[in-house]
Amino acid sequence: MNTHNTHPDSEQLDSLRAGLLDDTPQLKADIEAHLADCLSCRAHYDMAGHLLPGRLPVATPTVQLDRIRRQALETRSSRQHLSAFALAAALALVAVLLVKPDLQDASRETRVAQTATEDTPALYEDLDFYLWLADHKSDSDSAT
Amino acid sequence: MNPLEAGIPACKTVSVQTSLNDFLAGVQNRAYHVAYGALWEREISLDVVQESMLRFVEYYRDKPEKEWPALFRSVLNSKINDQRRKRLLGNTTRKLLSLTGLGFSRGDEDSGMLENELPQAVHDEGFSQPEAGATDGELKGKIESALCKLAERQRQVFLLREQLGLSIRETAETLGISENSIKQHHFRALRAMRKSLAEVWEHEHA
Repeated sequence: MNTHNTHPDSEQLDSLRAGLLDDTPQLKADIEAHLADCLSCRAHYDMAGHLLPGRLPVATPTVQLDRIRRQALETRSSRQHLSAFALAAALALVAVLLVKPDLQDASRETRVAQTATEDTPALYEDLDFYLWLADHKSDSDSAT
Repeated sequence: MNPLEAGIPACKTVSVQTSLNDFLAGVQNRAYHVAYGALWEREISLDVVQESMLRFVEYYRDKPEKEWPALFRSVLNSKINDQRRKRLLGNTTRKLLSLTGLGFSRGDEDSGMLENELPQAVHDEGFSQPEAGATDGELKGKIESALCKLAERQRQVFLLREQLGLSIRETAETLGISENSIKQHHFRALRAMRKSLAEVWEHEHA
């Protein structure tokens, strides 16, 4: 193909741009050589310059994307802190549950001791009755 | 314990955080254009990237770094699919409501999208703003319209290759498809764009 005399058609130009001519290096080299010399074909190749980098009407919102990235990483950090607090709280709860049976036993012993101290005065309150009963019993025994 | 060993977990955390930041900084533009190519809406695409990053950081940061690209791609595709489902559900609901005559005024009905329709792109740096040159604005509008008409995959490849200037291999890695598929999609996208904009190109070329 005499590329310097023949203009490649748009399909060949698009094939070159898309990389479909990578398997045919000779044809690719010919068209590239032609493009280097032919301004008209060069303009056709990059669609009148509209396919040059950054010329498409599609902006990349870099600032917003940077912010989003930072937020994602910070959210992870705050979640790490929260999970540390949650772990500490869980450990504290387990500790309380483990210690609680001992506390319950201790309170039961205190209650028993309290009951014992409360019984003693009741015994002495009824002492008169037992004395009377003893006298009465001895009287009845002597009567029989 | 060896004091040097005691410092290792903290150093490792900082190292992972730095690697993660570098990784996300490297993929954020690609992720946006993949989402934008699929959904063709700026704000929703940003939301998708945000959700993908949050999920990735939360669940996959402890995975080996060499697995990160594939994992992030998987998360991103999942989020894009979620948005597609939401859009489909919204459109179906809107259509049903409009059929039954409930809930929507005529204006809302007119602005409702059909299942496969994409919204008109909205940019902050809108080229269709009145202060921009009328001819330039019209031209950009026509290019946007032509991009909108492309098949989803073609549009993704086109944006990654032409807007971000990625190589065929990088584009293939980003989208998780073969290099030959990238070439074919790119070629078809170029043909479609040339066909849609034949009038414009011929005019400018003349």
